[in-house]
Amino acid sequence: MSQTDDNGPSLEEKKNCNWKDITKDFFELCQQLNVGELVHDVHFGLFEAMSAIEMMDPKMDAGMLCNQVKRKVYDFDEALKANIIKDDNLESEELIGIIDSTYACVVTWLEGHSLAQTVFTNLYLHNPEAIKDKTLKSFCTAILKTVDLIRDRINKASVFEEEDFQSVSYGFKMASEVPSAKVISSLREVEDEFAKKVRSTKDKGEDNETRAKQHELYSAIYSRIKFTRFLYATLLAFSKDKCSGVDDIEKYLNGILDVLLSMQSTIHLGIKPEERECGLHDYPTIMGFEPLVNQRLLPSTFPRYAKITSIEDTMKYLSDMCTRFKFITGVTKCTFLHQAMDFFEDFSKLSPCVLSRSLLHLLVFPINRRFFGNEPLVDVVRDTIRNFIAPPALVPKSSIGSNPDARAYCDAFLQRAANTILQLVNISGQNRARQREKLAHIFEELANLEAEADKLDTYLHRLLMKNSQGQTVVCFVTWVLYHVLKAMFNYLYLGFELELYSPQEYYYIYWYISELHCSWWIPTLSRADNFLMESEAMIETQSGKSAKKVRRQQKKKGKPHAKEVHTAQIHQMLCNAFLKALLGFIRAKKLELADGSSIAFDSEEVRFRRRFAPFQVLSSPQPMAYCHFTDTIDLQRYKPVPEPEHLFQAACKGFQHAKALIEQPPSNQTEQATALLRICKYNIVAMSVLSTGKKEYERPLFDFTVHKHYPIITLKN
Amino acid sequence: MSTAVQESEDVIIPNGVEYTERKIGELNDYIIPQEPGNSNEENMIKNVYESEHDLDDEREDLKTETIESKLKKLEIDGDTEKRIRLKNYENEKDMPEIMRLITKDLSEPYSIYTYRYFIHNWPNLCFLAFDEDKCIGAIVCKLDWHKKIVHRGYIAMLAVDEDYRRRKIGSRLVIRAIQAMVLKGADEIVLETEVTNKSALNLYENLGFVRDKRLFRYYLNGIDALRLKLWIR
Repeated sequence: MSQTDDNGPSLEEKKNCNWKDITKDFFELCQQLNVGELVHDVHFGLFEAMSAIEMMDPKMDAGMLCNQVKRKVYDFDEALKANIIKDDNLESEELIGIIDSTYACVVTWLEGHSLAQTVFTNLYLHNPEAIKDKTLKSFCTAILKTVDLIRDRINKASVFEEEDFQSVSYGFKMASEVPSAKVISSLREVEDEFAKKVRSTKDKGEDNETRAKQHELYSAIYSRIKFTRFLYATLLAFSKDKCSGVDDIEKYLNGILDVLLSMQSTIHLGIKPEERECGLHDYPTIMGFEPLVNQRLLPSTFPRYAKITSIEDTMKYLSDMCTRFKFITGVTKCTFLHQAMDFFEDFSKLSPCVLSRSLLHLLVFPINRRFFGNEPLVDVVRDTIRNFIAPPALVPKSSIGSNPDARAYCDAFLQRAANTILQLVNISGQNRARQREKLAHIFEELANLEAEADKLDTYLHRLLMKNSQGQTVVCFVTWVLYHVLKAMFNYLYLGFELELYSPQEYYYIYWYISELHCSWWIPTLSRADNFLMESEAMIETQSGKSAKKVRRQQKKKGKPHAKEVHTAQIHQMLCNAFLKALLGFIRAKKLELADGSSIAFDSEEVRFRRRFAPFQVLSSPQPMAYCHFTDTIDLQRYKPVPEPEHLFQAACKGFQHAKALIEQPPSNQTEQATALLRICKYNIVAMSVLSTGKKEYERPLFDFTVHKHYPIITLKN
Repeated sequence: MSTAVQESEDVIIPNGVEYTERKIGELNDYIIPQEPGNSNEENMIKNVYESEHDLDDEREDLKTETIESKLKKLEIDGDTEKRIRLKNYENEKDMPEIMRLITKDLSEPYSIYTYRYFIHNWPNLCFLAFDEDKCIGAIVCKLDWHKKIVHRGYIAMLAVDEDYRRRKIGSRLVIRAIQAMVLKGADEIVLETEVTNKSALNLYENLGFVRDKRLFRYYLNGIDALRLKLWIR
């Protein structure tokens, strides 16, 4: 086969060619090939052959699907002409069915499917202008506007990956010419109309049955239109500048949940598809829906088969989504950056949908990247560091604060830090699996920031020494370390949540987390506390108060980071207790792999190294080596060598201590605390049973349903 | 012109993201199908393949020596299973059997070119299990460069006939494939499987594979995948 010539014969020339059938020759020549030989073009190898679609294969060639269905596929205009769909005087049942199925499509789209194969299988959405029925027209226009707004929000927030959301709109018209106020007002008109109808069909004694039925139908449509208006209005309010829509959002959401309840109870009123075509039972096929209308519009990624969510699940999804919306407005109560970042973390733990993640992101960091749309991020970071550790350089009236060079240096650092903060915030907006992946790469960035902070601290320290004002200052480094450690904890804990660790690995993971807590996290927080209190004392004494009085005041108030330290102690205690329990199981030979020792490549040292490999780039905390781990858990150091029972006993004590700590103030009665308490209680029982040494069991089981990071240990008999 | 494989100079990379290399269809039991593979490194693999012995003979020997003892340990004995023989892929005539086995457990069949891509490029990383004359298991792998630094083995497909499951034939096939890949210098071996595919997870974890990553909604049916990895060094 010769290479194709780019300057081959033109179409005109081809027409004049004398065509010759070579089929026979071709097959004869094929006979001469040996088994396994393949003739192919230089530019078309096996890889291309694999990636290509086999034409006419019904599973691969989207165009072949139509051949499986023995009927014509109509678009909107054709369907109207053929009297398959109505555009006027729709029955109430039809309206209810269409509205519910449309929402089912919207929800499926929000779960990562293509717009063309979901929302736009509704033919009415292709041209709402042409619909004569007022209710349907207002609804369809509103859906287009809502979908367009959602797309805009998710794209702008940019906290998604292709598995979360398909942003391609395939050039469908989104009713951009209709202003949003018009959408709301026309929905309202329809709503008022139905409100009247609902009132007029209220039970008046006679002709009960038909009237009651009418009443039910009108109420169902009324609540659906109202929901549509509320949803669109909520999304519009979310898009307002500087969180100014938050009050409105709360107002709408309070109403929306009631409306949803009445929608849920009236699902059965909508029309149902008559017969179900083979292969299409995952799609709505009632009037107005044509699953095949966009079959040739394929997504940019590998086409996933979309199964449209059931209407019951759709209602549940919408209700959960609105509850999430309500939750995220709570972020506006966060005044400080660290609070807001913790809010992001907590929200993310609920594995929320991509839309609510995006809306939260845009509330706090809208397009202008200012904190709540107001303050430049650099200023926010400056305030945050000041609140966290009060570095002399950032304290008002300090000697280096007024040095122009020092200020410029600080500002450059803050600028740099602001970028890193944005990256961290973005990560916490991603789906949980992607978060771990992205965190693994952020450590390089954090290591660079650490180095910058170190340089700045050294510079400022030298400056201070010149002015002879005291001790070494490592404020900026400490603040960066705070974020480094948070990222490390997240990375390690996410491994539990995503079910990445096997029980054989738990013990070094818990060991690592525990070490981070006691050697790094708690010291970091205490250092920050000390700086804060010192700086406060200095300001107060400067303003004339006696040092003694200030100290007494501070003691009364408590340390600023006391709560975080307390939580850290609980976690460290828990990790230690788990470590001991796991060592007990290992010593009792209850944690071995099914195949025992035949695992030639299973090197614990290699696994240890790889599990913590992303931390290698950091200068502090210094990465902990495998030998460090084996040294600390080496039971041979003790004489006599502890038996499993002793280890379980120690674990039991550990859980008891942890429990006592959780019950102490300043632990609040949070969900988190309650869950941890339950884990302690259950594990105390299990451990005390095991510490008798008399319990017969096959192996331990680890149940993560109560808490994603700490299991309840049960025993399999 | 009649050589079996010739790779093109300019390889088109489809988006390059792992998600675009999605698998087709949900899988039963332990079939671990392929990625259609991205790779602008296709050419390089070939070169490496051809040259690795010239360049690295010495290092290669060292490597295999230390690893050979490990490999020995991997052999599973068992008198009952002696009649099940493993053999290397020979030629295109084995193809129908491999396709039959793998297609059976797959809701959406691959085109023959998916099989050819793997098997013609890496014929010595494809093994079949036979009971007498009956082909009852197959494994298909590849070995190429990942991000130009890691020599990554990839288990693309594995299938065992339904009547022969729970007899460690899958494990034997995987072990044989690992041995072959290690001898070719693999640094690590990876594969993906459904989060819900407990038997596949068991099989691989018992061989020392570790869950390295979760891939959210990786499969066409919306189920998450786990990327399993075995680090050789």
